[in-house]
Amino acid sequence: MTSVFSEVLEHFTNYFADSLYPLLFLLALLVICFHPGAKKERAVLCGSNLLFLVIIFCPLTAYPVIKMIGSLVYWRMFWLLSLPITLAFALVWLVSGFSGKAVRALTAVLASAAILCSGQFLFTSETFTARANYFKIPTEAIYVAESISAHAEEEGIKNPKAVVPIALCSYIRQYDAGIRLAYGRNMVKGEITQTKLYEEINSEAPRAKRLARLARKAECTYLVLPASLSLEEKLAKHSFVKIAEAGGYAIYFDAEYASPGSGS
Amino acid sequence: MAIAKLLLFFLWAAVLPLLTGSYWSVKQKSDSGRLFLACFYGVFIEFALFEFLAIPMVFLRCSLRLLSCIWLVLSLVCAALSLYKAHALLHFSEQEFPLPKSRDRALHAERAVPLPAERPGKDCSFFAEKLLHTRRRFTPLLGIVLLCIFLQAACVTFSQHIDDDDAFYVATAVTAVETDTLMEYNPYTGNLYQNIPTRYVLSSWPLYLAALSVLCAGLHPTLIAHLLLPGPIVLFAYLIYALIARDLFADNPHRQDLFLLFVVLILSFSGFSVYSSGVFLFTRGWQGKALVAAITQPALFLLCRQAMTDTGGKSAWFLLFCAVTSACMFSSMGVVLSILPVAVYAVIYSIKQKKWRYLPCSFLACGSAIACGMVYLML
Repeated sequence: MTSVFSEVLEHFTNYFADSLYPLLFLLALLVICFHPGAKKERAVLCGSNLLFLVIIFCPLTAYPVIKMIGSLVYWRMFWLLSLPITLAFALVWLVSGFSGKAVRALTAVLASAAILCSGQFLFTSETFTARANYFKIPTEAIYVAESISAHAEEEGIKNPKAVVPIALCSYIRQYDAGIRLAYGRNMVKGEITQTKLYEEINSEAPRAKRLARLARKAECTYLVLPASLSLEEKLAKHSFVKIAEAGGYAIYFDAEYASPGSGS
Repeated sequence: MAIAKLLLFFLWAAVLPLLTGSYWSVKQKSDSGRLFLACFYGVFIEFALFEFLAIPMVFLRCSLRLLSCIWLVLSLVCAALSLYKAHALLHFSEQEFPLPKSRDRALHAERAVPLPAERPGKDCSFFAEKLLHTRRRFTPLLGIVLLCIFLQAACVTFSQHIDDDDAFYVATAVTAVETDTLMEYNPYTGNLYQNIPTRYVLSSWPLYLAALSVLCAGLHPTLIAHLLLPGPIVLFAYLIYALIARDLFADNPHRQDLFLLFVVLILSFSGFSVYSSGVFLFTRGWQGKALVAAITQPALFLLCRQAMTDTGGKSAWFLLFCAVTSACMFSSMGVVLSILPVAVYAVIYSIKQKKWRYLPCSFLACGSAIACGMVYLML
């Protein structure tokens, strides 16, 4: 039971980090509890949030929920707290409790300042960057996907399979799901066992012979590597020919590939 | 062609829900702000309808095109029926006929229906006028709030935030469009699934993106998710908060504006961790779990309030049911995060108002989530 509680506490700490929103939230509940104007909504706003807190923190209720949804995502239970509604409601009553327009305006400014100081501004250049393209995925992924699909179309290859470095594997199929991949983000996240091919292509210095052999074994017709690696000649020896360079990546095609319709 | 696709997107994602929700908004007691209510109700009805169609069709291995077509036809029927009934209902109130309790039945057919045919032009403007009517006055504070909201919506539309989880969610939609199947292929690799993806199979949100793509003449699902949806989703979240403000401070527009201002500030300053609902709303609003956090939670608060204070009438329970079903559509977490709040609000309102019928009604409203939960446990 103690371990469940400490786990929940850890999620709480991670969720709110170093913000003062929990403190503001508790103060808001107190305002709603004692402000005569908020009487009508007292039971609902205070009652529901207190019940949510009990459900989230009490090991007896937290344990089955953790078992059901998994420990990793338990922090999502904090979404239950109607924090914006409760806090905004309490602040409105706090401001309305004062008489005189000027005093109310001043209280509103102070309340706003309290929010500003307690939280962290979201719309920063760290969170949002300038749009690189309309798809809002890395442009190099679009270039690579277009190069592969254009070549595959020329060669008459349906649903080409490629192996790409980690940096691209999350985006290629968001642009063109016609391209199959040897591994996806599930392997990056460790949801499935990482293969030798995954380890080789993402190593600092991939070995051309081994890479070609593993890619062929995984039935990958295309191999994508950072252009800076300069493996063109070595890979050519193993029949992987460079067909294009796009977005800082070199795209290699397996010349030994025999399409189903080619008869070879 | 691009403009035609955008128009189709606007039609299916905005106009259709608006028409679908018109009847339910007209049924509400207040005659102000019906347009917002119609949008609020309509969106959840459309989502619930999609979820009900998608789940069996996923298991029956139907094609995406079939799902899209059936959903569109049923949505159009719902929208037409809703419009028809809303129109009829408005004529009753306009002509000062006392509304009978069984107002949606025989009397409609007898008295209200012939009117639209008699004076079509006037009726259309009359209907639009009723739907657009609002008693709210524009104030400087409201202006500031609206400016902030539109700036936020513009920011999430015109700037980018790359989230790697899209490798699953968005790629599921793109894969569905590419293969014309419903969750049969692994979005990470494009290989056929060996086993059913039990964690995701009951949440059809990515398929909704795919269906929109099909119905918008092949508009790329990634464009829909990353470019077209984030802004409207931010606006929709604030629409819900505006309706909550109207409910909490019914007779005081100034307090409503102040409430909205504080909500804008709270959400804007919720960047303290990557887990907060504000972060999810603004940085990954196109993902189902973000909708559970930022849309479903305030929506359930409002709908439970309407259902359990009897302000929304009996229809509020149906709309609550639709919102709960939508939560299941968004994410598997929606099951837990819809049942729990509805249960908690039901207990509180039952005790507060000593109306114990709210408990079984809430249980029924959570029916789809309970069913989904049981299926998750079985799979």
